[in-house]
Amino acid sequence: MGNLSLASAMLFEPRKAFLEIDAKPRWGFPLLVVILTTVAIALWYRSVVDLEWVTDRAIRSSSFTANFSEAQIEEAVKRSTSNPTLGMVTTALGTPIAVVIMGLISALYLLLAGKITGVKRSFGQWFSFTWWVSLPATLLSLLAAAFVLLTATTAQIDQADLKPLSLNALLFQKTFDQSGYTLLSNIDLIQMFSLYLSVVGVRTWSGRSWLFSSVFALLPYALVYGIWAFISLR
Amino acid sequence: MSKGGKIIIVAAIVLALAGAVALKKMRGGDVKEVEIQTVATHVITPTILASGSLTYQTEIRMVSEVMGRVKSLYVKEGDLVKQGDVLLRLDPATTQAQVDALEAGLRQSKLAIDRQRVASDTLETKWKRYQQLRQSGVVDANTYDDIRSQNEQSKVELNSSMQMALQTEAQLKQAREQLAKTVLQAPISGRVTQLTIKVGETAVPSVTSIAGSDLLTIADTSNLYAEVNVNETDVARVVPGQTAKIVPAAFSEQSWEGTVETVAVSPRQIAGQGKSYPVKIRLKPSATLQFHTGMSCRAEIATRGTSADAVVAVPVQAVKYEESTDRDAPAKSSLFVVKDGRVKQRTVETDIADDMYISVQKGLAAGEQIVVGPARVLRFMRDGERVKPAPVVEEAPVTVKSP
Repeated sequence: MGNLSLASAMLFEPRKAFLEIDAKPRWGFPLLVVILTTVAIALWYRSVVDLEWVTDRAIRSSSFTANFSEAQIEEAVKRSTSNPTLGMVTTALGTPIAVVIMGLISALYLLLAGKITGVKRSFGQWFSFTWWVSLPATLLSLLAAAFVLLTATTAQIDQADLKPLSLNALLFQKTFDQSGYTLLSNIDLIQMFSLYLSVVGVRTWSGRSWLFSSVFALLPYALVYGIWAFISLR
Repeated sequence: MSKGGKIIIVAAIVLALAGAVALKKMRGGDVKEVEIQTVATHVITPTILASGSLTYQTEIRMVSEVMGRVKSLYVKEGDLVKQGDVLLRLDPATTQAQVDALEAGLRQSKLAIDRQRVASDTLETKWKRYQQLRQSGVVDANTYDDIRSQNEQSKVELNSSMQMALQTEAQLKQAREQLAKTVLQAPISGRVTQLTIKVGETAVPSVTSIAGSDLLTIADTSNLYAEVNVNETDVARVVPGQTAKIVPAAFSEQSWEGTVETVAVSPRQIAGQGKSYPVKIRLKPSATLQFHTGMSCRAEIATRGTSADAVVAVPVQAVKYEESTDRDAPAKSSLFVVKDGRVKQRTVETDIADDMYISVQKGLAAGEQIVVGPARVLRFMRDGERVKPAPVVEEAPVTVKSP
């Protein structure tokens, strides 16, 4: 099965796709697509957005700047936005590094969890698993971001707005200054689809129950989001 | 999966995304809530802000000129006193003893003068007699010279005693003055604003403020003043006769009306700040406000009369300034005019301002609607953005007087 066919299968027939990855693990194509797509979204967003506005919001929401005066915030915004080209370069270089590190962590977790539970696969297989699972979600994120950026009537677009299928956008409509805004904006249907693919993949590779596969694939996310929810909603 | 099924899934995904974006727009996600105000005319009163403290016209800090224990105190803080009233007495025992001793010494000196005068007169008579006898050749030259010498010596001694008496008299006068200083009298009529000494404590003469050197402070409370420090860059615009609003630190909601009375000629250097010139503002008495001398206050000095014509003016926060690329040119001023639910950034020419409004000379007319807040939204407002009024909108009256 070619890479494009495999990518298509991941969306429409995930079980078949996972059997293919298990038999012939490969990660070059999805890794490249994920990196290029993520960098494209980041750069597009940076080139469109009102940088001062978004930096001001980021500084105000940070706990490190909680005691800053208005003048200090203004100065920090000025300093952060004084060199947009440098910001673009940093984004272009930093995003791939961050994406790869996240992929490595995810693959490492799957390897360790597999060793503990008897789902024995090599690191290369889990690494391949990680990137193929991420591929559809990343492409869908690009599509969502494109919808938002192309239809925006203002340049003041929050990063959270790039996820129109998030829980906050669909259900809660919390504003920037309300607690839970960032958390609810980060949980979206596209990400849930990606998690569903992980569960299907584990089930296909382990041959175990849905419950086992769900716990195996979702445990780190449940922990991260659980702690986040506890901190932001307390 | 069949080709048709795949198309349906892709179409569903695209529709879901489009629907979500459309939903956000329908909820008005791109429309900013702002405070809108109708442009009106206002009387602008440019003011200069300065801080300082409340004070009386005359305040006299009384210190003791002699050392002594306070024996009696006749006033308490807040008492009204008249000029010449006795305020306190120091124990006069030591000074009185000095006076008594000097009086005795003076009396003794006078007796010595009398005794020497008698002796001198006797020797004078004797010398005159010996003068005749010498001419007759009855008395030899040695005896005559002795008598003459004794006579002259007695006169010198008499003169010396008289000078001694004068010296004692001067010392006595000084001691009596010291004695008089043990009684402190009010140098002016006014109110005792500070009493730092108590009965039994020792008053110490000193020019520096050490324990016991300050006795009390009397102030002429008939005239109340605020002494404020006006920055050197503003002082040229302050002249006697200008009106001012004085807000004391403890009563920030209330104020005195005042008139600038004097502007200092020489500056005062405040540590950590630039040079400033003390300006004295006479306050109009107020029945409701309590005056506390030394209390910090803020002064708004009106540098132009309020009788000027009303002009088109907008709240100061509504105007946005952008630095010009030409360093010598003034900053570009603009504001956001609201029309048909969208804002239009418009360049305006501004002029004088007070603490609330800034006049607009060109680019805006009364009756137009502008965005005046919130500050954070206004700061990042861009030309052409959609806006809607925030729930609470205050419309300014057509003509009002700014405070």
